[in-house]
Amino acid sequence: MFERFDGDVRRAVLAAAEEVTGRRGDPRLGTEHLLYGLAAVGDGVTVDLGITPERVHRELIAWDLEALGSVGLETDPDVVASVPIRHHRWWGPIKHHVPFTDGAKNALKRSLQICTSEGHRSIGTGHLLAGLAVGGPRDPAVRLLYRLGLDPAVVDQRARASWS
Amino acid sequence: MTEVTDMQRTAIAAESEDPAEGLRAVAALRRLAESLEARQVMTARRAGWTWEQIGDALGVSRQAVHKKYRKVM
Repeated sequence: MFERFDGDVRRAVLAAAEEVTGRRGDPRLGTEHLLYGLAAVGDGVTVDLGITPERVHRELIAWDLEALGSVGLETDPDVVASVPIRHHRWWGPIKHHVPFTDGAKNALKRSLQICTSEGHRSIGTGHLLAGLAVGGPRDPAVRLLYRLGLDPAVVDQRARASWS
Repeated sequence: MTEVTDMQRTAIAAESEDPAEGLRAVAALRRLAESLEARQVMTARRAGWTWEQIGDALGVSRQAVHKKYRKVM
């Protein structure tokens, strides 16, 4: 399904998504990492909406801290943001491809469906953003959009408006 | 005797909060535990601890800890 992505865009989004997954020490590449990847590529709607990779990364850490706090575990931000061992100098950055979460796979499928239904030939960042924005209230990327002060429905509209 | 322990408070919080936050906390805690474990194992190795001693301290087998961290050493 991912072959339908425009080559350069695919590589750039995936590389950034994998990088942040490894940097955070997350076991799988999820929709929140795809959103980071889109922000890192930084074209079109994500820039217009003010979704930067720095903001996404900061918000992920803030979310972790709040989540730990909600179960009674107060943690230092520096501890949560500390470099995971897989990125440590003894080990170096992870080289193998990180497996995707089911949610990330489904978001890519939705992007392809959106692309096909619009009659477009290859999937671009707008399709991927629309695919992420309609993930439902429990999806990590959708929750992240809310945390960034954005309404996912509006993000979806803006993404669709970008190619019309 | 009615004093609520930290552990109980954590358990109560876990039950009353949004599952999304609780599950997110578990994932964050796993990451922290992995990171902390790796650092402590390296410190112990540098201090001359054997794999067996480290495994005993962690409550896992010597083989398990060696397999996981031998590449780092």
